[in-house]
Amino acid sequence: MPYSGVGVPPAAAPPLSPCNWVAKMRSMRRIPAWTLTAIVLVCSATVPIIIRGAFRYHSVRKLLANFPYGEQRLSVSPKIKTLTTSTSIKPVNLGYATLDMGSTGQIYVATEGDRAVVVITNTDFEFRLSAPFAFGGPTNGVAMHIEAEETHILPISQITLSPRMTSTFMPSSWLARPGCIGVATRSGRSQHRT
Amino acid sequence: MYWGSNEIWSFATPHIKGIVRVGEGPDDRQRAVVNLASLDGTRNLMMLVFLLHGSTKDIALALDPILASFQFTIGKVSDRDEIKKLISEAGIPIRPTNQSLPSGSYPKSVQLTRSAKFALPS
Repeated sequence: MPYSGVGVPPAAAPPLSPCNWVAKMRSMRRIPAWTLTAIVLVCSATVPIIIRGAFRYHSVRKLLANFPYGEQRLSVSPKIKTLTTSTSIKPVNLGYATLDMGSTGQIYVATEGDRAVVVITNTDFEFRLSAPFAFGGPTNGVAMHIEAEETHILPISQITLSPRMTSTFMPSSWLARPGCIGVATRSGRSQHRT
Repeated sequence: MYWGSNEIWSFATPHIKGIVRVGEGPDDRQRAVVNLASLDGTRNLMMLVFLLHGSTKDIALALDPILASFQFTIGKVSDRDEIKKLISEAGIPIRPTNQSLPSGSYPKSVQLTRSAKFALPS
């Protein structure tokens, strides 16, 4: 009977002793052993993945936060242009290459530094061309650049479930390679890669 | 700030292929870096492009004709001295320092900027 506020209040229930607790548990409906086993198995499988995913996601976010415009930079996706040559208007001979400025405006061409860097200046722009160079071995420099620029942030589900842990990361230029935590190259490959 | 924060595009022409990274920040369209190579990848070159003060031209439009017409005239990259010799034989003079610019050498509106801040690969 509930206490009405009049007279002596009922004594509080005594705390359960261990024996009483076991007895109470026995009186409750039993959970089947297979259910308990299933719960344990599911927890043992998912908890490490959740912890690993949280750690990876936190690492990616922390790394991105260290670089101004980091996320914006990774969100810039490369476009593809196919340029076609047109009639030569103002050809320039660099000695090792030729090009056309595309306009009839006045230009100034000179070398700088150790005379291997060519600077072309017109009224609007300054173009500084390095000396041509070759990569040692079969390295394809442009393809490497394009692949790096196709890097983007993976969705959290893939960050969590990716079996790969880590690889090379080059945060100085926000270039990353497939296999890094949280980043991957876009699925569409450039048609220029060889 | 990172090159390509504004725009990135790769390109191919009958003679070269490459990638252009515009801007060092999301709103920067005043500078770009171009990495280009011959189609077989044996000859590579890097180009930095800067918009000069006072100009409002679009950097991508300025690059299009240059990249479309660019063509290596050497079969392979020899040593640097050979490159210097080819440049010299093409009649390209040495750029004087800003203090001793010859009169009439530059277009009147040209103001050279940032030239010394960027090192090109040797």
